Amino acid sequence: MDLKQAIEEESLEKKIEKLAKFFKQAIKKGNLEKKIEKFVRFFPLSVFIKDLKGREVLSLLNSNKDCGYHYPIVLNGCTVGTLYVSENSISSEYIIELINDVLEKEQQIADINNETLSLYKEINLFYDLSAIINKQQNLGKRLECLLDRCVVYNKADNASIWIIDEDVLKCICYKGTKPVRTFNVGEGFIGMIAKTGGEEMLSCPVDDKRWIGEINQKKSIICKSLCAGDKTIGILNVSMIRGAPFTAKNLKFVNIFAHLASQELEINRLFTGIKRETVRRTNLARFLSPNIVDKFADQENGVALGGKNQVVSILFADIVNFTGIAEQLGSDVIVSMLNEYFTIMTEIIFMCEGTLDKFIGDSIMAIFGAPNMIDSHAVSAVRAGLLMQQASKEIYEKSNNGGESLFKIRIGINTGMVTVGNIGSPNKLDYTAIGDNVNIASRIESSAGPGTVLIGGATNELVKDVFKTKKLDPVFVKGKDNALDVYEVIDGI
Amino acid sequence: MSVKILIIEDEIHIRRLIMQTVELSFDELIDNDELEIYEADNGEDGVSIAKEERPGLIFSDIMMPKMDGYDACKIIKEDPALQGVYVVLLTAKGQKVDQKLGMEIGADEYMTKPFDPDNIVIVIENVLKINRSN
Repeated sequence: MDLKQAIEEESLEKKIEKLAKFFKQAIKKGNLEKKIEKFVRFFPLSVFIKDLKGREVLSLLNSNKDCGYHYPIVLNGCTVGTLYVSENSISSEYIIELINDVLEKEQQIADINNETLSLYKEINLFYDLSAIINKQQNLGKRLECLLDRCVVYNKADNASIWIIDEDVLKCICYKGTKPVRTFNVGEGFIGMIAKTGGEEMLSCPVDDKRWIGEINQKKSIICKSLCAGDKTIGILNVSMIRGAPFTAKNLKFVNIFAHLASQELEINRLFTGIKRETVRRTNLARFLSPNIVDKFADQENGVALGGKNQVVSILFADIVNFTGIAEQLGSDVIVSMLNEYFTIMTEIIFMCEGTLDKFIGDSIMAIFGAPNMIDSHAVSAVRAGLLMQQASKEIYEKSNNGGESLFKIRIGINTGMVTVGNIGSPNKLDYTAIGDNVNIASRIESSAGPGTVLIGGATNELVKDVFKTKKLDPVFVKGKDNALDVYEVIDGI
Repeated sequence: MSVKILIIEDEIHIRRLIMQTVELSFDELIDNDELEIYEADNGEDGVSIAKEERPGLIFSDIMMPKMDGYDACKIIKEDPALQGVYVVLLTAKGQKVDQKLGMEIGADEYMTKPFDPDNIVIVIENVLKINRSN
């Protein structure tokens, strides 16, 4: 007897055993006894059923009648028991028919129940899987969980996830035996799946021409590519050494596990990207206004040179007698104070929706109304100016134990048409505003008294309903023939 | 002596699922009449079968017609003739379960639907072990 024949005989023996067990249960569940009992009430017969082991399954004996006739009970081509009856007549034929009907019906029920159980197991698998994966915090643990379930549900021995890193397949997570080597994309069976994509199931991998794995004879293997969109990013490899070879159902399961693994890898890639981008943006925000970071960070075609004419409000702030204060306080104190000053002033500008244009020595230039257009740019600029004056007093008082403030700033604001945009060279751009109205803002600031906010006529027109202002004598500024109307902002109305 | 399992559940497919799981995993015991399965589709019938057959293990749903799982469990656990019966209450996911009440009336375990059929097998194996050691 060869091996194949032995296996076939073994499986036939198991099949008969299984059917015999089913037969016994089906007789019980199908209420055959009651059905026969009803029949023999009208047609007196002795009926006796034995299973394959000779055990009694059903007995309805009529004392006057011996069970002299016997018939094999056949289910799916296999004899599973014997029927003994007292007559060889149409009545015994009816009993056989009754048995067959019960067995057929119970087999149908069993098939449906098996299918339902199988589907229920699948539902539970994914219910369980999603709950377990979501509990894990990092990618490694999530993939481990996934492989763990993949091995259990496929009754596999090994499962591993490999990712493509510069044309080399590297194992990043495994369950079972640790893979001992890497594979180039296109090399060996798994390398070919990584190259061509898709999935493949081999029932005897060592016979496959592409197989260059270990000597370890795997009985069955399923390999499925992991994808991000159309791109193959790795593979999921599931194998078994013992047990029955994988089936189409296993292939379906592995496909689902591979999709989940692909999603986990993709989510992790995107999440890492978002984290990196957030750090970049946070770092950029230390050098640029959030308005500028937001506006230009998402421009897919890069940031272009150029500008446009727009009405904005320009704010200049300057420390009065900075050189004198620096000499008086010493370099250590002044550096610390300046850092605090710029930090607080920047925060105020951003809070009032302004854009920090630049620091020029101890001066600050800010734009309100660009790049994000806001209707109330003049009000925002004046509000920022007042808050900056208030903050500058607090900075000095804090460092000077409440003494008289020598640290004063003057602020000038002007509103008008300027050119705003990216100015510089393609390699070094600055978002800034240029034009006559920028120069006027700077001149107004120079004319402001210490601790005051001075605004031009156009600005005053836009804020006079919000802030109390006082008209001062017109001032002559450098480069202008006519005197400029200027107003001092007293406070909010 | 055989071990008897009683399934009290009004949803027929859940009863069938449990029965099928038991039949597939313990076919040898069933074939040798060492394990028997009984079923009821409401708490009232469940209690009556429990008193008659004295099962070693009961899987019982909570929300059922005629008598709910809590009441059925309470009656069964209070019956001296049914001392030692292991009761597993089956709850649907998301269903508000009064765990305190369950503990008070003596339920031994909760199982959430959809349950893992393997967990049914584990519970039965444990009960069989206890039964053998007794």
